[in-house]
Amino acid sequence: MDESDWLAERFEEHRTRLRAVAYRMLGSLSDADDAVQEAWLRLSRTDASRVENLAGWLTTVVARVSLNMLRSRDVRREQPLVHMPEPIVDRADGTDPEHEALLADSVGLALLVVLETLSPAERLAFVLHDMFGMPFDEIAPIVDRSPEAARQLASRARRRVRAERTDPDPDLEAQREVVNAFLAAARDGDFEGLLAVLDPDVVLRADLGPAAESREVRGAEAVATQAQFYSRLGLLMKPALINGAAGLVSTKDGEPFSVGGFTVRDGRIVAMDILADPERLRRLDLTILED
Amino acid sequence: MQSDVELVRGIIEALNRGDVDGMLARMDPEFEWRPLESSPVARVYHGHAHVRRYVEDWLSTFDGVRLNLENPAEIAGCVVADVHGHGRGRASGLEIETRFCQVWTLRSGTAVRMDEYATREQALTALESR
Repeated sequence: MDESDWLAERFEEHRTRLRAVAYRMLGSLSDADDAVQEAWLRLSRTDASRVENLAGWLTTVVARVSLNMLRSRDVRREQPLVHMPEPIVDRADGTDPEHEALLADSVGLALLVVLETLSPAERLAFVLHDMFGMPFDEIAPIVDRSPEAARQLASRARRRVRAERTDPDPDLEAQREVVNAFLAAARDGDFEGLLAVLDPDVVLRADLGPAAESREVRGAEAVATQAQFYSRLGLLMKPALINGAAGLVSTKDGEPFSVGGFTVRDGRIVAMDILADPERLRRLDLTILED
Repeated sequence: MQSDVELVRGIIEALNRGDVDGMLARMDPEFEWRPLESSPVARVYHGHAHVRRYVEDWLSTFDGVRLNLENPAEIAGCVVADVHGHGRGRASGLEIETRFCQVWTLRSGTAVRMDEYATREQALTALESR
C-alpha cells in the first residue's frame, strides 16, 4: 500500500470540502487538519449501515468537532482586540491548486477576521448555511437549538459580516493596482496619495501577538498616518496573494515581519488585515519568500 | 506457554499504554489490521509501518484511548473478543465510544491478522465461512 492509498478513496472525495468547512470554522489550517483527521478516525469506527448520507455525516462530524474546538479555545484564550486568522499565502502570480480548492467561493482574510468575532454557534450556523448550503434543520441538532433559533444565529452573523464589507472587487489585477498605488504613496510619504486609495471608512486591523497590543484603526486619515509610520521602518515588501486577494509579505533584515491582506472595493481599500505576530509568522508557510 | 487469549490481551494492553513498539513486537511483520469491515472507509493496514501509522494517528488524535476486551474466547483457531473502546478528541474534547468485535488470527505465538466486525454475530458468521 503506497502513500496515495493511505486514506480511503471515499473519504478523499470529501477531504477538500471538509478542510474548507473546518478552515472557515477555525481560521487555522493546522486546526482544520486536526478536525478532519478526527472526523476520519471517527468514521473508521462507524458502521456504514448507520450512515445514509456520507457527505452530510462527515460535514456534521467536522462541524461538531470544530464547534467544540472553538468553545474550548474561547475558554482558554484571553480574547485580544484583534485575532488574525491564519492567512493562506501564495505567490502574486498564482494560487497553489490545493489552496485554490480550499479558498473556493472566496474566503478573504477580512471575512475570516469578522468570523472570529462571532460566537461559536453563530459562526457554525453562518458557515454551514450561508457558505455550504446546509439546511437549518440539520444545523439545529449540532448547536443544540431549534431550527428557528439556528436561523436566527445565522441571521445575526450575516448582519455582522455585511456590516464589515468583506467582499473584494473580483478583478485581481485592479486590486493589485490599488495596493501598488497605496505602497507607492506610503513609500513617498504622499499623504494625499494615500487618502486617494483609502475608503473614508477603511479599517486597519493588526495582530501583533501577545507581546504587543493589537490594534484596530478606523478612518482614512488615521490609517494613512499609520501607513506613513510603517513606511519608515525599512521593510522590504513582496507582493503576494493572501487568501486569494491582493496582499503582501514584508520582511525586515531578512526575517518575516508581517503578512497583510487588502480588501479593495470600488477601487479603494476598505480593509487592511495584518498579521505581525513573530511566533505565528514563524509557523506560516512563507516559501514565496525563497523565490 | 502463553495462550492465544493472553497474547491478544498483551497486544491490547500495550496499545492502551501507548506502547506501539510493544504491540508490534507481538505481531508478525506481515500483520494485517482490518478495521471495522462495515465502515465506509474500510481498508486493510498491512505490515508494521502502516499499522504503526494507523495506531499512532489514533493516539495523537485522541487522549485516553482505551480498549477493553470482553468475553475473549478461542473459536475455530482464532480469538474472538468483544471490544468496548473509548477516548476523547484531543483538540475537540468530544468523547468517542465504540463497541465492536475483533477476530484475531495467530500463528506460532504471533498475531498475523485481526478483523473487526460491528457485532459478535457478524464476526462468528464470517469465521464460519472462512
